[in-house]
Amino acid sequence: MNTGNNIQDELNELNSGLNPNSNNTPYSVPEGYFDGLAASVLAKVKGEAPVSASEEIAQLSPLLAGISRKLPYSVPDNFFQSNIENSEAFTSENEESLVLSFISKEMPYKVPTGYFANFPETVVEKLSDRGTKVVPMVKRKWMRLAIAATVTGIMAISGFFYFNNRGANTTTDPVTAVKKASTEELNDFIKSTVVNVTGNNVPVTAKNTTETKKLFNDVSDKELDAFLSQMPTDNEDIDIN
Amino acid sequence: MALTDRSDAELLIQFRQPQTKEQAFTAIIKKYQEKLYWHIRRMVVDHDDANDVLQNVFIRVWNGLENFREDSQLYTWLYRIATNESLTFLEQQKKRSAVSLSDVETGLSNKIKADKYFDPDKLEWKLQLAIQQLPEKQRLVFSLRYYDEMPYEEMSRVLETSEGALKASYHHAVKKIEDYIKNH
Repeated sequence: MNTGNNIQDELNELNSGLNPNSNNTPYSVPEGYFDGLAASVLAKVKGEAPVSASEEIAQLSPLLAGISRKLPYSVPDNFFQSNIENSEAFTSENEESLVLSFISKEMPYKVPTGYFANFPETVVEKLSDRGTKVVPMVKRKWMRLAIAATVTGIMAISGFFYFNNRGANTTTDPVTAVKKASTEELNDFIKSTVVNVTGNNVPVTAKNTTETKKLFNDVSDKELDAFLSQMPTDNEDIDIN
Repeated sequence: MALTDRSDAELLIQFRQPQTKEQAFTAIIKKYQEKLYWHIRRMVVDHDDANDVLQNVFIRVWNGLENFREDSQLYTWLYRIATNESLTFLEQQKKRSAVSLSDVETGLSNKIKADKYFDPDKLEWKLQLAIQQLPEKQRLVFSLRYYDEMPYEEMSRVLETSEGALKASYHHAVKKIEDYIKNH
């Protein structure tokens, strides 16, 4: 099949003035585009592969890449001891970049002398101090529950005994209680109780009557009459105390 | 062979044995103290603050190392703790002073300017001021990539962020820093 002739025929039929044999296009490509295309495609394909931080910053920002990564912070003498030379923070791999090659990665801050040399001991010491730390008892949940249960138990038992004893006191028969009481208890009770005896309530015992008779043996009837006449009548109260 | 020259795996084995536990811990501190110190100091700027944070980091390491699962590198794990402690410290500072984030950043810039070795004409100091203009996360990403040259894959584990997001964050950070340096 002759494609060129077919297109010519078609153009003739359309009365077109276009020349189908002309391969000249108005577009142009950057110089060396095709030379670098394969590498460019490969770079994109490998896009997921890790790129070093230095390469990345050079691509991203020539300005930053030109500054040295060394930090301006200063550190006290002997701060880093022997580790300082090996520290990755102090190595510069950005010399090829424009901006970052002028900035050092070294931190400009200072650190007290001997800080790192003594740091491990400081931490170990701190850990020892923490070992003797007093932990509050109430911090534990089970302890709080135990305390609450104990208090509730004490209150319940106290309440039970209190109400039980109170009920027993109110229902005790006084006669039974006196019967149960010992002689000593009764004597103590009598001694501690003041009794007011008035008028007809004066107790008269056999012992009293005999003693009275003996007392009045030497007293004449006249004297007794005179005494009785001074005494109040039956209707009058006699205070024997 | 000095303890600090031992591999992380060896140090971890020694840490798990009571008789060599403290020795191994001291070796771990000696091995990583400087890297972690600078990572922290770039975030908090002041030495005393960096010292406090670094001590807290190693106390956490002491408490957690026994249960450290070796599915990630010790170095990555340490960086994660240091990063979290630094962010917590900055967060506490914000709460304590009850100021906005921009005020804290201004405070950090002022701390840089207050450094007795500060020289406004030196590019190194200008770069530090430029870094402080960045949001916290971008500052972290820039610090880990630019100074520590940490691969994105590892940084992704430290910051628990996708590699794509980290790359974008780093690119933004670089552009902002560049702009700052050009304009100051």
